[in-house]
Amino acid sequence: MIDLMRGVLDKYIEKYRPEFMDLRVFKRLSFSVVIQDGKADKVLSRELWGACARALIDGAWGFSAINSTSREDLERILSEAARMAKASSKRITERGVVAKVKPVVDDVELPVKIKPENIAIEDKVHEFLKIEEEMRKYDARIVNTVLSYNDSVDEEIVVNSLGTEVRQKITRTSISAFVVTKEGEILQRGTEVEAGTQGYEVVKRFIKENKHLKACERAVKLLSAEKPPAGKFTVILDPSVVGLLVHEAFGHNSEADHVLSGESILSDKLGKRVASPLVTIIDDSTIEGAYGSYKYDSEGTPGRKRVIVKNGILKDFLHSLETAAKLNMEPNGSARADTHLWRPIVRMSNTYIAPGDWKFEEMIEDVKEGIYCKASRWGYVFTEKGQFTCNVDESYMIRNGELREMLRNVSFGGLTLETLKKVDAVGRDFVLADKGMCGKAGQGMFVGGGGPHIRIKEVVVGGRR
Amino acid sequence: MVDLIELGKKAIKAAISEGAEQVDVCVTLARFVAVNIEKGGIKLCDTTYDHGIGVRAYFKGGMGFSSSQRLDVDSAIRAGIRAAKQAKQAQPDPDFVSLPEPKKAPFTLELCDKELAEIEVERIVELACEMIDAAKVSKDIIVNGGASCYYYRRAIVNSLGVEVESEGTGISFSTFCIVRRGDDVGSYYEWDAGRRLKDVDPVKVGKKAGETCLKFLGAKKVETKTMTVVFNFLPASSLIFSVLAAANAESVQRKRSFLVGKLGKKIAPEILTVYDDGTINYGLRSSVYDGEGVPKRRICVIDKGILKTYLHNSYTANKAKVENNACAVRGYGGPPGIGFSNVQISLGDWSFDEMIEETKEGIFISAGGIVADSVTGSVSTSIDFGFKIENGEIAYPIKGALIGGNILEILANIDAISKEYREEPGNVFPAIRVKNVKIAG
Repeated sequence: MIDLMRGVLDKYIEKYRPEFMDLRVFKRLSFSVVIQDGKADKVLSRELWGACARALIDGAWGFSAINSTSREDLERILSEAARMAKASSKRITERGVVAKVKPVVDDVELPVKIKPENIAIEDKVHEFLKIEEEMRKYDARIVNTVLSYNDSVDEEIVVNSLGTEVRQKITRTSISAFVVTKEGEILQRGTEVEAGTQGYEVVKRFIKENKHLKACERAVKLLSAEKPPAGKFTVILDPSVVGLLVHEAFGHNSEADHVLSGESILSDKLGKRVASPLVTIIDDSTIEGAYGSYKYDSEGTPGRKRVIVKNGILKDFLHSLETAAKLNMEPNGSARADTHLWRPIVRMSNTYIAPGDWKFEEMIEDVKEGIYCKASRWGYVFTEKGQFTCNVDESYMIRNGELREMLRNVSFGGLTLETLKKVDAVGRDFVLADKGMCGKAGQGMFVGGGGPHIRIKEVVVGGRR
Repeated sequence: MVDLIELGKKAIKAAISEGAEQVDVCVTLARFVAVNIEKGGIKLCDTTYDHGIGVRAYFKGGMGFSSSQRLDVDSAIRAGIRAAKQAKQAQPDPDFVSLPEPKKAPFTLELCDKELAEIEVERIVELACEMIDAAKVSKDIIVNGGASCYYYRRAIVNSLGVEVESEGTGISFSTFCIVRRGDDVGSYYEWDAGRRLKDVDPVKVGKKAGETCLKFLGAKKVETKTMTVVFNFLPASSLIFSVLAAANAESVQRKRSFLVGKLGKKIAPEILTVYDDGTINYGLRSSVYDGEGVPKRRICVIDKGILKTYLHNSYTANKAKVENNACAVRGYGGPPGIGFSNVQISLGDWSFDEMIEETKEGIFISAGGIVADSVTGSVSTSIDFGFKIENGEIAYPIKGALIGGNILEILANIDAISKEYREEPGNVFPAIRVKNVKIAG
């Protein structure tokens, strides 16, 4: 395939003499099972397979994609990409550029312990049915149980006009338990996920850690939890909520495409204080097995550990080849694409706050009234204002240094720069607890996140009393 | 030109010969052209060709599904065989009765704009530039956004004889405007979408986003308090969408919806009536047939505050022994789900100005989704584009505030609906006022 791609690409480079051109082929084979209310009611397989091309001609960008990898269609998208670049050139305000990096030639496969395709479908279904049965039997108040399993193998080949030729294979496996409980008029839910750039060992870990029962336990306990209060509180966040906060409140703002489009509050903050001196923020795509990991991004640039904030000072952004060139910084392999149908854009990988030296007990002991937030659920941000929202499943009131009643459906929000400056304790523990999908510009992407427990003062909590 | 129905039939034949008892197939073929706008210029143009086939097979009620992005006969047959094999690996489901029998729709729909089906990217670039110029109401406004259009063909075929094919077009323009003055930031977004070129107005989109972002300069924080909230057209529609999402009959049957047990009950005041109508010419979410090939219809979901029906596909309707109201939604990449189409919310007799004037203290949520959790009904989110209302006037923009509550309480506290509305092809979204909402600041 690489030879075909190189041949076709070189022909179109010769024809259009672009500043930059690339061709990417993507294939994903995925398999899923859904067990629901005691039955394996869906068994699914999907095949995604196609190619895309980008062209940068006279400072203007064009992109084209198709669900095919034939020579004829590779030629078609290269010529379409060139035609699209010409259309863009009618009104460019800033010329497109690409960092002149050293070309990479490599063929890699991220290692897994147990290849999912080596486990027979019957054996998978049998194992999942057992887990789901334990969930249903956990408590009489459980009214719906869903166990979802997915494995996929992605193969991505990137060939570009700089000479890069990279082929990368990544296996991902995920399993999630979802439970609904009911008591009177009250419905509650519990979810637990395990996922990684790993094989079937993900399922073994999920079972060993009884994650499915943890989802049940939470959904049952939430039935008798209190409605949260509204107002400003000191909050302590567990590693999963820290992962969500650092991703939403900060990570998106450090994506250099947002910086260049005027949509980041960090555009003029390099070298300046953006968080409390206790805060160091890292995005690292090289953590073995983590859900957001990869060796090369969708432009063929090696991923790496990027220190975004060091002791509260902004040090770096996440870059594509273009954003690095425009900001005169070094590319760091952060351009990722959701299949061949989308162009690579700047994305996070595994984003976390580095551990500090506080013990959890020390953090909580001098909180007079506060909220302990556990188990992240969702979040989002408007980067231009740095206004974020985080939603958590399980929380507890803290009174006089002690954990008290459980709260349900807590959201907290605020302004990034204000909030991160109010972090006054960072724990010594560390878990990469968040594994999920991040949405940006219509594209979904696998990401991870986490950190230690942290404490923040004066956070606005949205409540009902 | 690829014969989508023939391809579907080949996949069905393969699945049946592999032992499947019933099979249906969705085959789609689409072309997208998009223009990406950054800082007032064109950042990139793209054209994408997306096509694929998705085969769903049943064996004793257990479901197998397989999809491919190749539209050749071999891939269709392979997907059919895989779906049938996987159906046997799923477990029997006695609640599965049958896929739908063929039924001809008693109406036709216009969903395709010939002009749009053949539009060149250069024309979209021109229109996008007009939108950018209109957004620049002040020199320092940063204009980002985009425009995109599509043409699609879709066929739904099943082993009981359903064979339906449709084609359609669509176009949308969106703008996100940002203005920075010192540390102060104002921003706003707007969009417009239609199935015909003449249904969209990119200049209006640009102007609205440009003018409104300036109004968000100088935002202030608010105190934590229980207040009246006026939901503008889009935030109001997002509240109603949450109700429609929870009306998904599968979620109700699986007992994971806050609307379980609410059928025939009052969930809102009499002034609220909501229709889901997929049968409107050039409606954004219209189609003659749903994702399983059943004729669409106009459904009264909430009638004068009373929940009249859940949204069904063939599986849930058969299980509940009710008529299927054709809400199956589907692409080639997955088995059909349940969803709503065009949404029409009843208009009230209040003018928008009266709603504000008669609010002593409150919040006006101008844009941004306010969404309820479909299981618990909990609403807990930031107000991203809001203003404080003081003494009957929109006083100043706000920041850092959250709204909290439960959707059923919010619905019960609706006290006014506007006569003005946002019209999108097929949709009618008025503004809605709600009393006693907890705001945290």
